[in-house]
Amino acid sequence: MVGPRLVAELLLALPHGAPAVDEPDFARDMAPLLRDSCCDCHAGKEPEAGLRLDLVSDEAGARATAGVWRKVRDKLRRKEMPPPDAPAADATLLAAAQRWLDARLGAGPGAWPLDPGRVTLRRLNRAEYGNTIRDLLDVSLRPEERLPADDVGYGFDNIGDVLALPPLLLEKYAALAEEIATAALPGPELRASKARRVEAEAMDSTLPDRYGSDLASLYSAGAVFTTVTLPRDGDYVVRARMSGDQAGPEKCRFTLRAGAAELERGEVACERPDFVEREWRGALHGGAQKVAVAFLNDYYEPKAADHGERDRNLLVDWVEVEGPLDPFPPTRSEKRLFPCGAGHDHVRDCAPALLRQLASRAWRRPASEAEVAPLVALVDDALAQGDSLNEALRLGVAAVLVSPRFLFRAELDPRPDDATQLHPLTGFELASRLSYFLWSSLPDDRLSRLAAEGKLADAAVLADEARRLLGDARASALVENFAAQWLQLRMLATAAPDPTLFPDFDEPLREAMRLESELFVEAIVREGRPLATLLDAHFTFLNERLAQHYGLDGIRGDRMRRVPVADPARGGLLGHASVLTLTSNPTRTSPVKRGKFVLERLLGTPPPPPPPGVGVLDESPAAAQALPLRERLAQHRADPGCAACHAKMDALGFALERFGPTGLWRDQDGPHPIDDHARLPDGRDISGSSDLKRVLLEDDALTRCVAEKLLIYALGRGATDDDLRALHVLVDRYAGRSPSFEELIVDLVGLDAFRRRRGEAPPASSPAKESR
Amino acid sequence: MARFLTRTPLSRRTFLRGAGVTVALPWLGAMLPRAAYARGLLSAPPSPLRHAFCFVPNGKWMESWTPKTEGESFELGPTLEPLAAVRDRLLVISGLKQENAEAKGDGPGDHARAAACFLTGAHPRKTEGADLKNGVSIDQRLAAAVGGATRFASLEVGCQPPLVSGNCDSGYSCAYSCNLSWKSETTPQLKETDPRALFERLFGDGDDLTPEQRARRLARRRSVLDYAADDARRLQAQLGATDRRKVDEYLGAVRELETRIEKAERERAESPARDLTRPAGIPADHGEHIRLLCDLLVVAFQADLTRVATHMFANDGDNRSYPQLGAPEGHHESSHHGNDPTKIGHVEKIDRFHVEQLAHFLGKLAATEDGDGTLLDHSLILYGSGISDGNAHNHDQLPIALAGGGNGTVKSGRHVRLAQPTPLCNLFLGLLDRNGVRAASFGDSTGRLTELG
Repeated sequence: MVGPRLVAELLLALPHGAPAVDEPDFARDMAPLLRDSCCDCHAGKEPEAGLRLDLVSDEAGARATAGVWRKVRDKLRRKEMPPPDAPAADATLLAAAQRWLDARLGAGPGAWPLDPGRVTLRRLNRAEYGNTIRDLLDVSLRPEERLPADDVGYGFDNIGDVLALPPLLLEKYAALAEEIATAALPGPELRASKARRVEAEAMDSTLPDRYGSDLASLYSAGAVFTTVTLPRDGDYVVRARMSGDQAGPEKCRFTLRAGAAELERGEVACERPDFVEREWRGALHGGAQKVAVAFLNDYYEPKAADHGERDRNLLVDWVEVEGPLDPFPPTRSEKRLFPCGAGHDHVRDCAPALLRQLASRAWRRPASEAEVAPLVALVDDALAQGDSLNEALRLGVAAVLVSPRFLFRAELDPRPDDATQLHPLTGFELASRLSYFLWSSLPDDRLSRLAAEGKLADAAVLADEARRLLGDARASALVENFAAQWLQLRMLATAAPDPTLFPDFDEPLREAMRLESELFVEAIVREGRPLATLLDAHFTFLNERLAQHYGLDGIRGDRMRRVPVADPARGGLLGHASVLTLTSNPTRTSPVKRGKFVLERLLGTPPPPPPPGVGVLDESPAAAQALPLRERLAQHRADPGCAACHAKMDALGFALERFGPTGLWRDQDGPHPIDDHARLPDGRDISGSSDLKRVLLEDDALTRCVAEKLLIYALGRGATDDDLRALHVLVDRYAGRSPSFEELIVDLVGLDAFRRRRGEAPPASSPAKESR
Repeated sequence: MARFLTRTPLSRRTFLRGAGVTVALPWLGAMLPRAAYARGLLSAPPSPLRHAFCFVPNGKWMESWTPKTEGESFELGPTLEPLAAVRDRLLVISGLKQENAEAKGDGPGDHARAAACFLTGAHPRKTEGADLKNGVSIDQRLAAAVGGATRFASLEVGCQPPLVSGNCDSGYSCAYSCNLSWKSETTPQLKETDPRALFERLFGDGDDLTPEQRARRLARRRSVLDYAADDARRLQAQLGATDRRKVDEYLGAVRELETRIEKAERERAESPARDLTRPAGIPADHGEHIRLLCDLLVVAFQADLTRVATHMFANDGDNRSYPQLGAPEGHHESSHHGNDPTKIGHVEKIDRFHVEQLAHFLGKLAATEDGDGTLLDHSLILYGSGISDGNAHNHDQLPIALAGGGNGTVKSGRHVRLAQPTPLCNLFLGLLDRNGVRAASFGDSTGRLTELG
């Protein structure tokens, strides 16, 4: 394996120059090939493909258009240019040009220095906020569920430029901060008992009509009930205020229940306007509790001579639950937060240490005295106004969580307005990049300690930490947040197969589909399997529902479990019902969408959007009966405006036609037999998904694609030309071998783009737009 | 200062018996002394003008949308037919356009541009992420003018969160197709999709707090925000230009929250809706979701918590299917009907479904007393799509209806066919006029739409 250290050393060596070798020279090495083979088409006012190669004449010009040369190099390497119908390039000129391209775009001496770029400060997104709060305070709230989904850029929802902070969101952060602080530091006033009274009118009844005004009248055997939310397990009092219409030999009898348990059973002997309160004391569970009063001995004798003796009813005015009445031990967060020891009688002197420690963890770098002082002042103010210590401290905790230093991940430049000022990230900044990349959460104690000791600057230590974080349970965030977006698994939530055609598609199946792919990717990450396993695997994860869907026997229960896959077509993501469903239309498969998925998600070569004004497919049932889908799609390839892209897209999709719109294996589509043959643009014929997988894995396109997506996700910004160059060099080192996620990730975090940044040109001189 | 929501003419017990399982709204008018009266005690002031902008994606089947005849005797076509009950409160305008939603050399991406341009009249910059740029939207322009009078300068709601992965439309950031409301050229206003969360924003989280406890809570939140603003300014001094803009956005949000808290401190000592049945969350049924958000906008208008709102029934390009309507293909798929009668039939059903939800909204407004009339009398509700025909992706001949009396400033009950294609922004200028804002132009306006009243 090529270690990150080697890559890093090579890259770092660049600015120092190299032994005086033959310096690459554009005019001498590159320009002749351009004149000879390229500029017949790629020149002038309307160059082919919009690419003009006759404008650059020297090194300086070439340097300024580095992105163009990366593309030129790709085309030459893949022998796509000059095109087959043009004269072949002169071998000597081509070799010189390739030497120049490899030198300038590579990693050796003579290469252009790589710009690490910069990352706009990033607001924590929803998942990161939830994980960070969880790891910071050990509270059981799930605050992310109350936050809106984040906007997406470059395919991911963690892009600094796109993550906005409108007032509505800050309002939510402010409210959540108070709630989180309260959960972390419950004060005596919350520990104290509270009475929750529910009036009868607000209660539900098992009887159709209550005949009451302010009372619930149980005129027959039945019950009134309500649900109260109790803060925790503890001792409570449950009361009910009742009266009766007495008749017959007995007095009204009632029972008081909480959930299924009977608390109290007894008699109500009085009659309106008198009322009686009955109560029960004992232990109840926290959370939602259904409390009910039931009437046990209905009596109705309409013929009784005395009108007052005809009907016995139980009348309920209200029900009340008071508590908890028992003392409450300190919370996990309290134990964690209080440096002076947990308990109920903290002293004010503890506040500065507590806030400093909390702020340093929350802000992911040491908080200074000056930064802590205003927090302490907040707490002192609250104490002066008569708050309890926990109440006052909560204010400080909430302030830490509303601070931009918490909500944003800022990386500071020594000279922020100087674009030439390149510098390494601080240890703490690097620690955060690493932990948010792999855990979507803040650094743990070990990572923070290494940051404080300055050890993360050592590429080997950084690489070890990357491996350690990947091995931790928290790395499942990489699957939930990276893989689920990269593979569009989140889109499965909105996939809507037509219920009349696919009556079996239901929520448990949808959930099992998503889990199959997530668990599959997670296994590949954790077991260090090559990326190629993503497409070609002999195992998957199923439960009974999904196995049934695939037509497999012998798997029972809801639990997803690992099973071997014998069918080569089914193994790998392209045989997963998730991917096959989310790339289908509600009523049919879409070879176009499937082809696009392969190009965009697996090969990293997204097709351009369709030109405006293109026609659409005749979707009528009659048309579907008349012609197989692939023949209807043939219009795509007949129209030259569509053919260039659809020849590729449709072919890739046709190879998957044996999988129906919900991923079921099929031999027929309506009246038409399935034909999964396809001709690739290079003229090769393939048949079915096994051929397709072989073709997809025959070069390193998948590795390049995953590397680019991972880098975008890791940095939280679009990939620049220099990023792509760096990735090119990196992937070349695998020499065609399929690396593991771990290997790739370790190499990625060794890149300059991950470890360094620069200042930004002041806004007056608009920075050159980075093009892809 | 008037504490206009503290006394309830009806007892709490009386109300509770009438409350249904969903949000029970009609009681509020009877229960609360009306904000409009309470605001100025010296003379009965005119009712404030309320604005809502309701957006539907993917265009309409225009043949069924556009009334066949013009003027006051117009007849509602099949799509608008559900609005029969409020027909005389309706002004259907044909011939409006949003030219800046056209490609103008930027290639595909009509859905992103349609939503981004709908209320801004601006041509959004084509970008996937960095350097978003659009224009300020009309609702935000109105909010800047009249929002100071209410606790919420504006409310943004919609049924769909931003899309969760992938590019939204041909190289346009999802921010464009998922947001109508733009506070500045670079900042879309986030919309609330969860009725329960919206409820809690409007009416608090329902704790039974005493006025003193409530005041204390507001003061605490304010002290935290003061700290946050100071801290943000300290941080900002250390940052480069792009990062500074992000922190600017944060500071703007802090200021808006502080203003809101100040208003809350002045206005109310007690939550007016502590007994309102709070919505449970997001209804599974799409229609119910749209309507519930409409209901909450009605209450917000009624209690004068805001005067400006946007409601995105769905994000542009939305491809949800409507099997319950017999339209199983996704909305977007169907909208590319290619003149196939089956698909057009599906589009018509979806169009009509959306108008039925609008009818619910307008009906609620019409049934709610407000000052000397109804809320609908004092509102201008704009409804429409940023695309005309979903198959052609054209942005002229937009389907636009303006509902409400606009405090007597709009002559409704008509279908107007404009002689020339006219910028929608000309209509927006007319809205600004009606709020006392004399703007020379808005977006790409070329003048004022004189046909309103």
